[in-house]
Amino acid sequence: MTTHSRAILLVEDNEDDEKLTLMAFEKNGIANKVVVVRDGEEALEYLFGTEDKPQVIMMDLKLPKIGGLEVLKKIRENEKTKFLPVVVLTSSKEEQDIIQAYNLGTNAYVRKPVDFVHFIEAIKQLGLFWLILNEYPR
Amino acid sequence: MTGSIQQKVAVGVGLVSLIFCLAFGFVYNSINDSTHTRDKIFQSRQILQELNSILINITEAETGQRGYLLTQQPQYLSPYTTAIRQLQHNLDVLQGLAKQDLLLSDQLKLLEPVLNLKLNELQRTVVLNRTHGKEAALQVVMTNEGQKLMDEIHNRIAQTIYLENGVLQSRRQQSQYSQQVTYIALDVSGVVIFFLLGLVYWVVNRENTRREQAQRDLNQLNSVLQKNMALLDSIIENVPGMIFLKDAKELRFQLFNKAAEEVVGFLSEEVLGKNDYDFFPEAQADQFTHKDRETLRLKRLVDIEEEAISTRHGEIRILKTKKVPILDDKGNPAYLLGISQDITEFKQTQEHIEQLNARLERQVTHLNALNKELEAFSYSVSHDLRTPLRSIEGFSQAILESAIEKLDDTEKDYLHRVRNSSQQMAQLIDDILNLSRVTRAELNIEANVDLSEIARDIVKELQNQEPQRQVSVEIEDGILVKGDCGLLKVVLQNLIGNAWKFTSKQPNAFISFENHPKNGTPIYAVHDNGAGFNMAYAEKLFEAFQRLHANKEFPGTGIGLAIVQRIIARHRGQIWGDGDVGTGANFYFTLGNIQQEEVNDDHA
Repeated sequence: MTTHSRAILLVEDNEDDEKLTLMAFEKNGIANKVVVVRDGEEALEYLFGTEDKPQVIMMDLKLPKIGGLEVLKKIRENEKTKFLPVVVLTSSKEEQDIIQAYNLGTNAYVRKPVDFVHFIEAIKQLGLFWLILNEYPR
Repeated sequence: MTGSIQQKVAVGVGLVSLIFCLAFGFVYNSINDSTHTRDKIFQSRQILQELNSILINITEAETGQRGYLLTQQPQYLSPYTTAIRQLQHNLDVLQGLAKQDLLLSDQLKLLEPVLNLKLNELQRTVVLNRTHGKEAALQVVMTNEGQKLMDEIHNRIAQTIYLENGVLQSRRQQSQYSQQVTYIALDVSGVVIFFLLGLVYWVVNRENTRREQAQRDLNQLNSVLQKNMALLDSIIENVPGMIFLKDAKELRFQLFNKAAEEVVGFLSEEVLGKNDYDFFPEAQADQFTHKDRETLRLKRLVDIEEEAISTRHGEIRILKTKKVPILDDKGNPAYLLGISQDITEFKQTQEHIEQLNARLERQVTHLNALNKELEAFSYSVSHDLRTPLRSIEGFSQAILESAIEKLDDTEKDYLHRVRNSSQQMAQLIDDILNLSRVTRAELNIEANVDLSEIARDIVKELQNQEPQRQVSVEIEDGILVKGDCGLLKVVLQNLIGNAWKFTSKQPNAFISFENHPKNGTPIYAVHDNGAGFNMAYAEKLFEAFQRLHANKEFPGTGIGLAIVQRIIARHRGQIWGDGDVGTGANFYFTLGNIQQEEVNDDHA
């Protein structure tokens, strides 16, 4: 991984999930800086408060204060953030959530597997794709 | 010939009368003429008789004169004077007759002077005899003047008789002719009258026949009419609906049928001739009368949706009534016809239905609320129940990885058990959510869902997951059904997946999917020759979380068939299974003919 690689924004209210996700990044050798915020409000404050845009946003849907879908909507509505890659990383695979998320312009929707081995694998794939393969406007 | 029979008969009788009058007049005239002619004939005969009498009397007078002159015996003068007197009488009679008889009058004018001369001559001789003696008188006789006068008289009378005979002859002929004409007239008029009478008789007879026929027709019509009236009465009486009739003036009942008696409890014979006030409470009677008057005033049907009526037994019945005015020839209301239906039971049923509907609506509202709650619940389950599981699983794995050298085998085994249980619970949560999802999901009905193709795809997928398995699969081609493609795929995934799973210990595994129609109804079947099941537990197959096999033997959550059953039920079909332990299982299902419009109501 290159040193000048940009940050990953992880929007996750559950500390266990945060820990497990960070462990998965580590296991897969993803060395990007990971910015963790606890709710939708913090996420928006971070995004609209810095010029340093994250390379990818990994966000849960069930979040305190402002929900994940609302955050997604705001990201897409803002000129500065509308092209930011957003991966919904959540527990549910409710059809309505998936549809709404895509309607609001998510780039991917990944359900966190319970099996940690599978979870590590999923994070590996995500890192590979969004941090290395994927290109998007600066 | 046109015209009524009266006219015909009048014309006939008129003609007969006219002809009769004419004939009578003619005959009367004839008889008159004839009498006149007979009078004339009689007159002629009298004239002839008088003329002959004059001849005799003049001769008698001369004979008496001669006898007196010869014998000088005065007794001879007696016949002479008698004859003279007779003669004078004869002349008087003839003079009387001559007034109407020009011919006789003319003849008398010739005869009379001669007769007078003769009588003078006789008178003179008789006077001479007396004054101058017998010889002087005879001297006069000897002159023969008397004889000459006598001849003259004879000639005159003969001529008159001849003429008068001619007249008599012609009068006789006239009389005869007149008589013949009368007879002919009588004959002709008789024949004509007879003919006309015959004609009148024929016409009258014909008319009579016609009238008799008309009378028979009328009688027949009458009997048909009576029969029809009886039928109509019977219909009105037996119609299963209240019918009543009131006169327009005083609104008194004129008709009250059986159904009306049954509803109200009063009998027709009690009601007829009376009005509403005689039977019903005043308020009701006021209302009925008001509506009656309204109907009669408007001259059109008045529909009364509902009206309460008290029966003889004090019960209140609800009627639906139509009131109709019946108008006379001039368009004035003559009667009021009422037709009522007892809707008491109907109303009660309707109220009951309304109550039930209200209850149903409350239940639907309640169910909708429950459904929403359930949705919120499952949403929460899918998020919140999985998160701690992931922590348990993830950190157990982390310990296993980081502390692998410090742990003994028992400790490792425990951690593996924690991980397995977490994963199993995650699977359970997923299955429960699936079950809830198939119950709630909206059906999207498609006309031609190809079950054969879906089945083949499923088998292919299973084979990919376990390429080492050797399974003989038979899938019937072209099984097309109507239903929700996604949900039917879930059905086959479960049924074929089960067959795949339960044949895993069978060396010659066999799975088939076919249609076995029965009485024209398609029955879809999945057969396998796997572990099978005990038919004693067949009923439990489709209950959620019911398992007939140990998890170690065949893993599973016991939700699959419950999901299948709910999908089939939502397609209005049926599912059942049979089998035996060790020989395999057969699952059969049917699908109802379901329309897209119906499905979502179903689901509320």
